[in-house]
Amino acid sequence: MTGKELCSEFIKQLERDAGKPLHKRILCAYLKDISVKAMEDELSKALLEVVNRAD
Amino acid sequence: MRIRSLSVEGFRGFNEHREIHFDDRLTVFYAPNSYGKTSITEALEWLLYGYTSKVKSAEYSKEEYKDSYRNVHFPDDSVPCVTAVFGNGTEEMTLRSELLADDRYKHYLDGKEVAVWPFESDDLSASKPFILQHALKNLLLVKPSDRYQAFALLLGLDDLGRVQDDFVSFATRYRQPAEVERLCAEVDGMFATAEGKVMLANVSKLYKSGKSVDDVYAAVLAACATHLKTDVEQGDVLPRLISLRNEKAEAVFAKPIKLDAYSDQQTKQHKVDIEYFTAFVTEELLGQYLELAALATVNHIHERARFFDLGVELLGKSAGSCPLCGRPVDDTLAEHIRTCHKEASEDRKESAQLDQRRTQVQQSLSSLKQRLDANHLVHVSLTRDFLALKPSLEQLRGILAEVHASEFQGVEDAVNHVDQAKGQLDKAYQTATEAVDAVMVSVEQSKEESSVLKQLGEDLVGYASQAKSFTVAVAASIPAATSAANALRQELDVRAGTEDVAVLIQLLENRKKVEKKKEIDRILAEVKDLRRTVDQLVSTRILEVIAGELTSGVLGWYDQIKTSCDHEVHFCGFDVPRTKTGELKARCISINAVSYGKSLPSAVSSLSESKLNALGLCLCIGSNMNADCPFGFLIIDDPIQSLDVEHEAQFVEILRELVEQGKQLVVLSHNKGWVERLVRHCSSLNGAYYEITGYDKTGPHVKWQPWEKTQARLDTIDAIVKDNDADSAQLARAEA
Repeated sequence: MTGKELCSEFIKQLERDAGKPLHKRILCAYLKDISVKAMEDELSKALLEVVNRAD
Repeated sequence: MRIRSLSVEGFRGFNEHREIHFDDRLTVFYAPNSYGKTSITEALEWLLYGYTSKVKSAEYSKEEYKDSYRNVHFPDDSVPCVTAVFGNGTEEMTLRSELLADDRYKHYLDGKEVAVWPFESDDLSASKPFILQHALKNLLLVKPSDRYQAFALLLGLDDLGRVQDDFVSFATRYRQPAEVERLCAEVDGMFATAEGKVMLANVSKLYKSGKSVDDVYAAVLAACATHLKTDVEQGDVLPRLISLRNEKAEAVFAKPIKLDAYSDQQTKQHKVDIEYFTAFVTEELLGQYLELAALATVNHIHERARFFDLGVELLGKSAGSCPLCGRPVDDTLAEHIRTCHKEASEDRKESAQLDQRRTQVQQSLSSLKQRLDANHLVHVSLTRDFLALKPSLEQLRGILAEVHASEFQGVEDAVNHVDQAKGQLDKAYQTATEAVDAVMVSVEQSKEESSVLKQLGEDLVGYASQAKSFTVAVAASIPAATSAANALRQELDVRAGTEDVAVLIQLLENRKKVEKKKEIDRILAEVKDLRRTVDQLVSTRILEVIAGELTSGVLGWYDQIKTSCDHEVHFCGFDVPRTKTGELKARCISINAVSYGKSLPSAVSSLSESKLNALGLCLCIGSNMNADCPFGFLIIDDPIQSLDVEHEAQFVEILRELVEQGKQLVVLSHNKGWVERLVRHCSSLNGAYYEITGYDKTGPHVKWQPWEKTQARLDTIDAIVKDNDADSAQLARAEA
């Protein structure tokens, strides 16, 4: 199984698990170019959304 | 795809060109140690993969292996290369790799340069066609995590391993953005301060134990109620606490240390003002200003015109006599008055334009004055409170100097610095406004002089320069002011007994930040959870492969290698161990063993070295036979190290069976007796046999040897001819 196949399989599994949209979001980012940086960027985006949210 | 021939020059032990042809079924090499037989394996491995597993696995000593591919005796101006011909039936392809500097290489397929080999793709995860003695140790006699990596590589599951590595790296090495780190540190800092206060320790405990924000703030409000002593509506708690704190603090020291930075709007306006002031006096303005000198004449024209307007009007009412004295006015005089009136009216029209210019200059001066005032006021307002500290510095010293001496020194210097800059700014402002007034008076009095306007220009530039310096002084003083303000706040809380109140105020003011921090924690926990899920998924996949196909494949070969003298301690399968909670342990593979039906802790600690070596060989063979490998050959380098004689004999059987199952084998060994036994046992295969008879600077001396002695070969042919069950292919092979 290649990395891409693993991710596809994993995302399908997460789609069934509606409770964790962050997982799906990070995996989708990873799937785009199979890089740790893509996941880190997506996580940073999610965290900054929280920090910069208007009070 | 089978290997037909190999040519090597300048690579590893090979200096001068050598060419080796392989039998389609079995090729055997014998060479004493250090005669260069492993260089044959390495040349093939490097050609196919661009590296040798020995170099790749030596991450810790990369320096020692640097440039180790190139033979040191090979001429500097030549390019080391490895060429091999592979075939599949009638199809044939030639692969050639040239070794370049820094271990780079160039690939050529049938003479044409290519970036990758045709069998390379995303799916090239199949087991490699090499069984290398040094690699066997990496499979078994290593810690479970390293074994896991080696297995993943062996089983062609490196992609899966890489994905897992990515998630481990992501979950463990991720660095939060600075804004996120700041917020987390701020919130953690607040609760760390609370932890140090007896009455608030419970609040900190609740926060650290992961309780909800509501639970934490219920405890905060309970603590607030204790301080306020009366029942207060929830919305009034914070204002009441602030008021309580300020009252108590002001009783100790009433003046705040406050120096704000210029707002963005103020900074922008200041920049525009400075440009306006420095460019106010232009040549054009000077020209317009000097033209106003003619205004005195213009006034005279206006007065004259008004005089004649009145004269003409009165003349119309009392024609023929002067309206003032009654003396007669003759026609000539009346005509003269009318002519003068006409001329004065025309002069008045021409002067209107000049008059308008005067109004414009006056408006510009008025506007300049307003902007000077406004600009100066911004600086004054911003620093008023801060400079008001000056008379109280001695009192402030009494409060701060003991515990916060550097903060006091900083704010004292800052006050003096800003005060000095303010003095210079005020002086420049005074000079500039006086210069504006002087110009206005000169226009008013029609006494325009170029020197007056030029002086205004110089004074405006002077003001702009001081205003700029002032903003720099303010900016430079803000850190000291902020630091002293914090120190003062702390000191006042200590002296006024409001430390707990201060923490409560901070907690109430920052509830939103605490909520955000909790959400950040939740997100980061989800990342760990994601890593765990990936680990489980990968481990499950690995378990499927190793506990199913691989275990049965390896057991099949392992059972064949057992000998009569083997005592009952044996390998019984591969597994992924589990944690106490029943989850699969991440990145871990165990090798199980049994003794008389009872499980042993591990095959690694229970099996003899000989048996472990045999198991390693069976593992490599099993995985290679199971994998969807694009290569029909298998290179086995020095397989019988540490095998006892009986295991050696069993292994010969295994090699023969591999050939009969269709594998093309290339076997290299340092053990001449075993090699001869292998050849004898496989005499009917009539393979290729090479001996490396020597080694010198030119490289190994590879000599072809007959598979069997002539008489033995004739006997074999004779036996086949007499065997009614033998087929023509067997005969052809024996005769080849």
